[in-house]
Amino acid sequence: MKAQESKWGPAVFLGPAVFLLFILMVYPALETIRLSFFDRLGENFVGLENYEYAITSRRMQEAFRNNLIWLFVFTIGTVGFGLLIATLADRVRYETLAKSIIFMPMAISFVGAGVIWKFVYDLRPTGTPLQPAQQIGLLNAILVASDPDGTLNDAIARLNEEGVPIDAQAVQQAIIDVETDAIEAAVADEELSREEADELLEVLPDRAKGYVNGKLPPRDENWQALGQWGRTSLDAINAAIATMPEGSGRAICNAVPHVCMTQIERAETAAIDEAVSAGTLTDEQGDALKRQVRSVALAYVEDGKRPEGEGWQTVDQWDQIIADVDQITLRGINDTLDTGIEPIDWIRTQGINNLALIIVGVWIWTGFCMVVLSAALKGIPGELLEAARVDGANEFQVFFRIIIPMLMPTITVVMTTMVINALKVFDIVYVMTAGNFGTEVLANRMYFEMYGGNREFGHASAIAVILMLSIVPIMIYNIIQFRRQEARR
Amino acid sequence: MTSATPAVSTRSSTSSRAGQKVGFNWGRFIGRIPLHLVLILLILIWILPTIGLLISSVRPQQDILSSGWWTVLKNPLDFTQYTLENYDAVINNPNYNMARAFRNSLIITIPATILPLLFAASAAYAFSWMEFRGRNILFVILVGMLVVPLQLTFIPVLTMFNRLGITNNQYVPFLGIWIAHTGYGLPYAIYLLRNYMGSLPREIFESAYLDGCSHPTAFLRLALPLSVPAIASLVIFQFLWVWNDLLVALIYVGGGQYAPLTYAVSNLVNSLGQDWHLLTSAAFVSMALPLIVFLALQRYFVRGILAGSIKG
Repeated sequence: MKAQESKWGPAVFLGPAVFLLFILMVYPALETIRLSFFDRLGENFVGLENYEYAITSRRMQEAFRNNLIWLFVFTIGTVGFGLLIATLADRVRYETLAKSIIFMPMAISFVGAGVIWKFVYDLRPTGTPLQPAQQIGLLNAILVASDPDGTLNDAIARLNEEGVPIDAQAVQQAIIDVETDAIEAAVADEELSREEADELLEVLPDRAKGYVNGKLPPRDENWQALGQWGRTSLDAINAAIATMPEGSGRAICNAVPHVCMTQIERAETAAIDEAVSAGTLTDEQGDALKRQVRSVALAYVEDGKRPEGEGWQTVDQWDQIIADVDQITLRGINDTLDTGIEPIDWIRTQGINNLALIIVGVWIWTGFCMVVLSAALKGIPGELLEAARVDGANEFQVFFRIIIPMLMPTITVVMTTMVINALKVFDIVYVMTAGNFGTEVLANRMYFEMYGGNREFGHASAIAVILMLSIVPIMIYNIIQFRRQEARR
Repeated sequence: MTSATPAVSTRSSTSSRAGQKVGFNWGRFIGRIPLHLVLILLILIWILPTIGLLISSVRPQQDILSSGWWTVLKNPLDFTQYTLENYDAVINNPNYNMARAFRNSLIITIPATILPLLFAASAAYAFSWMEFRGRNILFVILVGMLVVPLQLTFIPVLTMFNRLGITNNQYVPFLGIWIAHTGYGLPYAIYLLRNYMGSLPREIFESAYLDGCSHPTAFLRLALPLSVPAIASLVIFQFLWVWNDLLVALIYVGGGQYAPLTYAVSNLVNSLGQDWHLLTSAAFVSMALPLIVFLALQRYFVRGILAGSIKG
């Protein structure tokens, strides 16, 4: 490979790139390595103290675990889907359309993606028999089909009008008590710092009030007992209902018709099942009745409208069921309620939320993998594939024996890119959870050490150095690949 | 091996489509049903969240909060349930100044897309086809910069820029962010282009050199044209990254009269919080141009574009 010697040396070709990279990245990187051995503000040498913190602190260990999950799930997800879609789209006429749609998330900023996925993962907080909330988040709407109604606060106000001695204040106070206990316990376990806890306690009354009005607290606040807020409010209301005189179920049903509807629905469904197995109803009749039972029961509770049609088994007992509603506890219905699956708080539930965030990442980055892999796929000579097919290879053999091996260099590039993305992941976590609820990652931790309240430059630098070191094996692998490439050509 | 050599593709689109021209092949159609099903399912999964956003952006505020966006699908032609008020409120509100932000985004993005590609292409050529001492080491150092978290570079670089009068420059207000985006975009562009140029067939370059071709000529006449697919993808990626960037813009131009669109949208997010009717429409305003750019360059990914480029 000898071009004519000329005055155009490598220096000219490399000059601008090398110059810019040295001032913008190499120099700051070296500065970072230096700072990682110094204290908070970079003044005194502290040896390996920052690294000790980076390896032993609880938040950092959580970050290491999560980055590892990201590394595997995210990389396999993006490269796998990218390869699958590139291969499939190559064989259909609507290829451009298909690829444009898959690529589209790449064109959306993280701010936009955050809005989009907040919509998908949204949870309306008051999903209880008291107030079966309409889920406006796609995933939870698929899990739970429910009816619209007002907020918990509306229900409390209506109960109050019907004479139940309860006010929103009492419910809020119950929530505050439960959350305060949980926060104090977390401080005792060193899961929260005293400052964090005090900040939370300060806004707690406000958040509890918001919750009763149908608003979950902001996502970047690290509440400890959020999962119990719903039950706590039900318990508070139950306590008030228990003080009512016997047989005042009608009043309660006026305020919260869904509770009574659920009771009637359960009684009627059981009776229908019995009638079907006894043979007085056919399977079809039973199914038809069961499909209507909810709306019929609700109409009866709200307007006293008697059901039309034949076959209702328990209709003469419905008044009694309504009168007895004050005997049941709302919490009891909630725990045993057979509405399929409870809505899930995708963003705050540990174990699920990491996956929920990774899905957002995969949704964004698969288009990238697909475009690069697809370009390489076009480069595989068509004759080669045709020849294999003529020789009797099926599509799977063609894919695994020819396409995959020939794409290997490109797959390496794409995978390297995705591994780096997984290690550096920041925006998605920052936008959606700010690293709370067990979703901490290294880059987010580094950001908060650096720009958060304490300005721990030493800690941040040590984390950055660990991040940089973690990529070394992958770069070595890439160099080996380049060497092979050079040897082959 | 010619493993990653798109440039020498001779695969024509006609050969694989030949079967369809001779009447309709039912056996083939049925055999391909699973293929279509899987692909269409994936497309649906991918587009659903965005459709939800789009529909929500044309629904009145009260509807967005009280029912899921899919409820409009029950009567999709009932146009009374749609409104353009949200867009009107976002675009024409003088407080948000969307038009100015849009123009700033363009001024930032165009140079910040072209410059890094130019520098990266010449560097990638040097790494692929020139021999010099320390080539591998230099390559590892430059590409290794991929993993440096950008947030770390801000303070040292900003200090330097301030000393040199690059930031807050009244004549070239965007100079700082141009330089920054160019630098930050380089490692990946070099990495991808080096990989692509390095896999171009050696014979082409050797015969060119034998014919007395110099490096600048080989770079401009051979390497660049042959790398068009890789460069086209990089243009898209760099454009999207700069257009959608918020962090770097915040650091190097701040929030004043030169702030880009992402800043305006994120301002909406912060100031409006739960006002999803405005958020959804603002998010769509910011997505419009990137989508157009992608669709315009899409043809570079279509089969056969390269077939004739070196054969003729």
